[in-house]
Formats: sequence, structure tokens, C-alpha cells
Amino acid sequence: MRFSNPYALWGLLLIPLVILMYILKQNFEQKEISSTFLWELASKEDEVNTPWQKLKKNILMILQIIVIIIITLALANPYLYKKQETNNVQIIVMDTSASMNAEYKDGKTRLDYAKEMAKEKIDGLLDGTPVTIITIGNDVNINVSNAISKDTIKKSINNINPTYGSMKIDDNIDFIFSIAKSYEDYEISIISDEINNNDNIHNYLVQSEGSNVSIDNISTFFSEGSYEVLAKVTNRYKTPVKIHFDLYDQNDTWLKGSEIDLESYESKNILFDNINCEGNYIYGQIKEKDLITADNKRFNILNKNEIKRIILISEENIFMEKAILASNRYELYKTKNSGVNNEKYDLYIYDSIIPDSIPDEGNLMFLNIPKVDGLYETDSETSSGMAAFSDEAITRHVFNENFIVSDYRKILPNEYIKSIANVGEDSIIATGNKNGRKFNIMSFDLHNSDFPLNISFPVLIDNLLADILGNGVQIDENYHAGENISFEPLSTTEKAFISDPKNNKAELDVNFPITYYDDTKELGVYELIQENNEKEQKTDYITINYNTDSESTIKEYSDELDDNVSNKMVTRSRKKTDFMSLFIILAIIVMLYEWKKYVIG
Amino acid sequence: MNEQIFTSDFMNKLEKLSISVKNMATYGLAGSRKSKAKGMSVEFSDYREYVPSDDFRRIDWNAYGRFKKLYIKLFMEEKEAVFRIFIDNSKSMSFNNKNITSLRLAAAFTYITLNNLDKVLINPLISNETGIFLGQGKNSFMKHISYLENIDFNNHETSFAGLKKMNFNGSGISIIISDLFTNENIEDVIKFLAFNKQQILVLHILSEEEMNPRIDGKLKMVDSETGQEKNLVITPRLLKKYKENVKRFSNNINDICSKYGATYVNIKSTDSIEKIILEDLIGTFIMI
Repeated sequence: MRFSNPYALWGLLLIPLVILMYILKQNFEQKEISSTFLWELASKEDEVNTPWQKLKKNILMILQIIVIIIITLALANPYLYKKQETNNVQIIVMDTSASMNAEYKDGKTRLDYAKEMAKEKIDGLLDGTPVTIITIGNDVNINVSNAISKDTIKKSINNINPTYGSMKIDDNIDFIFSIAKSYEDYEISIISDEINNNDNIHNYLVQSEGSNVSIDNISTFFSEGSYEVLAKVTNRYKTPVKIHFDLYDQNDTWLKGSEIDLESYESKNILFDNINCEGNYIYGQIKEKDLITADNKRFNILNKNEIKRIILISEENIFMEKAILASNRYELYKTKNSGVNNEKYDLYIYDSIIPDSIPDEGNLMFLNIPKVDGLYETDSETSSGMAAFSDEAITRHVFNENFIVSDYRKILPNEYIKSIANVGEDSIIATGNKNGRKFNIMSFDLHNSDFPLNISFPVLIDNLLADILGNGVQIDENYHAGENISFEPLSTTEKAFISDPKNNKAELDVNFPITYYDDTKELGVYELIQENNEKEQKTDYITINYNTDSESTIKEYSDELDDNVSNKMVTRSRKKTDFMSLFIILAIIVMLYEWKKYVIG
Repeated sequence: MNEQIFTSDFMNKLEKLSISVKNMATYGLAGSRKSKAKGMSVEFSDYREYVPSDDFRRIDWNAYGRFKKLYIKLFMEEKEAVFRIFIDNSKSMSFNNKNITSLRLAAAFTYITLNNLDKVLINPLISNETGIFLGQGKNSFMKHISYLENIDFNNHETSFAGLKKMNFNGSGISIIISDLFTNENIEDVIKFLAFNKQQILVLHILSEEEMNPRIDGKLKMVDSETGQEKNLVITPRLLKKYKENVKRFSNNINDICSKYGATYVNIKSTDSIEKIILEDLIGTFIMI
């Protein structure tokens, strides 16, 4: 037998004190009576059984000693050794994924119970047993490694925080075993709301049952001055349920709502139209509280931006096509006819085909066009050489690249244009801006250059398009908690920041083509701010939502479990037997008996 | 001794008691002394002066003719009875007014006896003197009272050794007034008296406290006579056993008395003299 609180055993020192008190207390009140004659007769029978009489006299003392022992044991909180206790290294894997936020009826979460189970297991280990704690939620974390001090281990368990991550323990079993195999003898325990079927793992299952409805998706479409919102909800439990689904804007103003009946495990799509709201995002919320509340709310960014339309007027230019289509932001149209139809486009690219007339609206790109009235001119002579980029914001990622070009014409400088690539002193690529209308010039045929084969080609084209069309960065707006946000900064971005829903701001490193941000543990809307060298800021919004596909389903394990999972390898969380209460009740019973003995005899 | 034992009120009671006893003897009871000698020798013994209430038939008219005074004849068996009153004057009797009750009883018997012109001998059990005779007739009563008042109750253990050394010289009546807290064999005492042709009356006097003690807790009881100590934890169970033993103790003495034709009366020290004599002693031989 061992004790959770062995210091309480010092209470046994009270026993000699009680005995001493009893000895000192043996002062009988003296009373002179006429004669002890009759008392002698009365107590004569008792004197025959002297040893029992002595014991009976002291029985109150004995009862008091028993009470002290019982209460001391209760406070020391004894428990018995478990069968599987060994000195083997203990590797405890704790699931901290989103589903562990599910609540029990007493308000505690699955993770709370998992931590209690872990601490209970630690208490049951032999002193000096090395323990490694690994948490898997947003990512894989080794919280403690090979620790011996139970206090340290339990403290680290207490410090484990819940996440909304959806990383699976099953997906990381190899990693866990790789850690384990660095020890000679080890035992792996997983504390989770799911069971791992590996025979060499002991599962500690924390399960809470209850109804759960999740919002799986919200998408918005802007058309004719208002939004259409499509939401998908799923009942994740075996019993039918009725819910109230409401839409709110970013100022928490109610927009629209709907009452929905869901059969067991049923999904439904709800369409809301004519939603008028300002702001950057909306969110949907289920009114009713259920097992997992985090999946009852979902955010969506309101995006008025339309897809940019580009028309390529060219005989054939596969290089340009691929470069344009490398980005998903554009719709590309092709024609060989310089006289475009009445369709309006955001960008007109003239590739070696001189336009009959310049469209009134939209931006322009000229490839191998000698002259455009009112915009630019090129030299009549052609030449060849090695081209290099000048150091501009738009050429940041291609600055050090060179390429060969032949039969180019020198772009004559004017007030509207700025060279960004030269062969010697001759400008061969330039950006222009006349009265707010942007245009780009390449004064050579791409086919006469190895530029398209250069790694810098698609990058430059993308930069030129972004600069000319103003779409900026390719940002994926929707992520799940725990995922890394990745984005490509604008070519003009000098600094970038990201703020989480709690307004914690972090500066991002924009020195790489793609920037990552991994602190996505909070659910909600994140702000991505990019600032150029003129302190102009551009803000984009990103949502981090609950991963309902992997973390909302209520998995039920029957008492018999599956065939391939032995009951012996699964310990369920259950209320720990409260020995203290039993001991205290026992102490009360003994004290009552003592009182009875004292009063009645 | 406190003189208040024999107050004027008590004296008045004694007079009434004496008349009551005599009335009972005259109108109903077959003689105030149930003489065992009844039907025995009618041998003339003596004369004595006639006193009112004597039987007319016993007047000796010849003596009247000669002396012009009324005399009655006494026969052998009507010779004055000797009342021996044995008073337990041990220390235990001084508790809870047992001494007062016992002295009053002794005084009452003395008065009644003297009234009857019988002889009274006072015998404190623990004394250098025995058979104290202080005279006959009513006039000697105050001497008896004075003697009784001065009996010392601070002695050690009850002892009947003195009694067992006495010479009785014929039959008589022996009254023992005691709590009988002694390790001596009571049966020997009764037997001794019976063999000495005594009509025996045992007045077993106990106090309320002794019959029904109201104590609890841990007590070191000290015997007032022997100084012996006894540590006891007074529990309800022990009290119950004690009371059973008191009863058993009384019954045991009663049995012994019955065996030898003695009369046993259990008296509470708080009982009044009238109750004891007119109620408790009714039906016994002792009514004068």
C-alpha cells in the first residue's frame, strides 16, 4: 500500500499523547461513603474477570486510538499498487486536439479528465520512473522528456493547454515509437477520446456523450449589391435535434436567422439571400449549447473583389499563357484579333499585334509593339545583348537574374515610363502610368529571348500583373486551427504584420517569396497588414475555423469495444474511489460507538 | 451528640406512640408481648401495685383487704421482660442520619418499655460497657435519653464481638438496630441470640443514598470505617448491579432471621418513627 500524502502519517504521533493523557486523566474523584461493603459485593463479579475489566476500562482510550489511526490513514490517502507498475520508461501521449474541448455534464472538459488520469497514473508509478509527456493537438510537442520528479511532471501536465488543432495521434505513431525505441524498456500510454489499435499501446479513454451540431462551412457570394450566404450544418449525434442558426456581421449585429430540424447524423445547407452588410466578415452561430461549443461558430470573409479578366491578343504565346494562369486570380481570354469585341477586360495584352485602337478602360501591356501613340516610342534599330534588371520593388525577387535577348528595340524614355530591365543603357522592359492608367512594355519578342525559360519569368509576369491590376497577394482566406497561414507578400511590401482575434500582433518575415505564420490556435478572424515603403497599408482578412470534419464527430465506444481492441488495453476514465470519505465515515461510526459506550456502558 | 435528636416534638410523639401501642395491645392483639412462655408455669412470683389498665381479674383482693391497696399478682412468665437494645454505633451509621433514626428508635422502644415497667438495657455495639441499665419506670427515661445522646458514632468497623460475649440470664427481647455493614457472619449473631432464648428483632437501617445511589463518573470511594479505597467507574450497568446486590443483601439477612425465628424489618433512615413502629412493626411480636 502506498500513500498519496505520506506526511499525514505524522498524525500517528498523537497516539502516545492520547495514552499519556489517559494516564494523567486517571484521577478519580475521592468520595467518603458509609461503607464500601455493598460496592464490594456489586463489583465482585467484575473483579473475577479482571483482564476484561481492565480492558473495558480502557476501551474508550482504545476507541480514541482507533479513530486517530483511521483519520490519519484517510488524510494520507492510501492506494494499492497497480499490476502494470514497473520501472519502465513511461511515454504518455496526451491528445490536446479540438475534440478534447468537449464538456462533461459537470463542466469539465475531456482534457481536464485526461489530465487527472495522467496525474493519477504518475502517482501510481514507482519513484524514479522516467516519464516523457507528448502532447498532440496543433502540433506535436514534447512537454517533458525523461523526467523523474513527480512534482515536475504533474506541474507540466497542469500546464497543458487545450487547442483547436486537428492533428491525429494515429498519424504520429511512428514518431512516438521512434522516441520510445531510444529506451530499452518502455511503455506507451495514450490518453485520448479515440482508441489506437496498436497492441503495444495502452489506451486511456476519455469519453463524454451528448448532442453536437457543427457548422461545417459558410460561403458568401456578392451579386447585384447584396450577399448570398450558404451555410452547411451537420448533426453529429444519434438523436434528432432542433437548432437556431443566426448570421451576424463583424459588429455582432444580427442579420438573419433560421430554425432547423436535423435528424440523426443529417447535414443540411441553408441559403440566406439579400444580406446587406458592411464590414469585412460575417459569422454564423448556433444558439444552442452542446457537447462541443467551438464548432457552433464559423467565420467567413466578405469579398467583393471579382476575378480579373485578361485578354491576350496574340498569334500564340504559350509562355504568357502559362505565366498568367500560374496564378488563380485571373481569367484569361485569348484572341488573334486586335479589334476586341464589346466585352470589357481589366487588362489588354497586345503581343506583337498592333491595336487598332486602345480601349477606353482597362490596363495595358504591350509585348514587342514598337510604338503606341500617346504612351511610348521605341528606337527603330534593333539590337541584342544580355539584359539585367534594375533594383526596383517590382523586380525584388528577380533582381539578380539575367537573360539573353535579341532584336530588341530601345524604349525611349518619357515622363510616363520607368525602366525596370536594361541591356546596357537601353531600356527593354518598363512600367508606365499615364493619368492613373497603368501599362507595361516589353520591347522584344519573348520568343527571341531565353527570358521565358528563366526562373524569373513567371515571377516578373506575376509582379507586373499584380502591380498593374492591383490584386496584390495570393491569400488563402480560410484555414483550420493549427494550420500554418502562408501567403506571398506584395512586391512592394516592406513590412507585414498579422493580428490574431485577441489583437496580439506579430511581425512577419517578408524576405522570402512565401511567408508563413503558425500561431493559429485562436478561432476567429486574423488581420494581415502589408505596408510599403510609403507607409501605405493593405489589409487582408483570414479566418481560422474549427476543423469539423475531423473533430466534431462524437465517437462512441461500447463497453465491449471492437474485436481488435482488448478491454485490458483500455482504461476508461471513471471516478476515482474516494478512500478518504470511506475512512471518515468509519471514523464517525467508531466515535458514535465510543459515545454509546461512555454513556450507556 | 446533637440534642436536637430528642426534641419536644419527638417527646410528644413518643407519648402518643406509647398510648397507641397500648391500645393495640388492649383491644386486639393477643398480648403486647407474645410470650413464648404462654401456657407454661403459673407459679406465683410476686406482687406489684395496680396501675390503670391492668387486668381486674388479677387483683389480689386478699392483699387489698390487708393493705388497703390494690396489688396484682405476677406469675413467672409475667415477670418483667428485659429489652436489650443493641445499637450499631460504627462510623457507617453516622452517614445520612442513620444514627439519628437509630437513636430515636432506641428512645422510642425505651419509652414504651419503661412505660410498661419492663427493663431496658442499652448496648452500643462498640463500647467498653454493655448492658447499660439506667433504671426502670418512666422516671428513668431522661437518663436513658441522656445516655443515648452521648453515644459516639465515630468508631471503626461494626462488630458484634461484644454482643457475643454477653451473659443473658434468661429469655428476653433483643433488638438490633444496625446497617449490618460488617464482614462478620450475621448468622452467628442471630444464632447466638436465639440460643440465648431471645426474641430477636433486626432493624436493618439503610439510607436512601445507600439504597439508591445517585452518583456517576470515576470515583475513589473511601470506606468511612476501614479507610479502604475502591476505584470505580460508575456506569449505569454497575448501578443496576449495586441495587440488585442491596436487595440480595437484605433478602439474605431476612432468610437468616427467618431460619432462627427472628424478625427482620428493613428501614429507610428517612422514615418517621411513627411509620416504623405503627406500620413496619405491625404484626411483629414486639408490640407492647
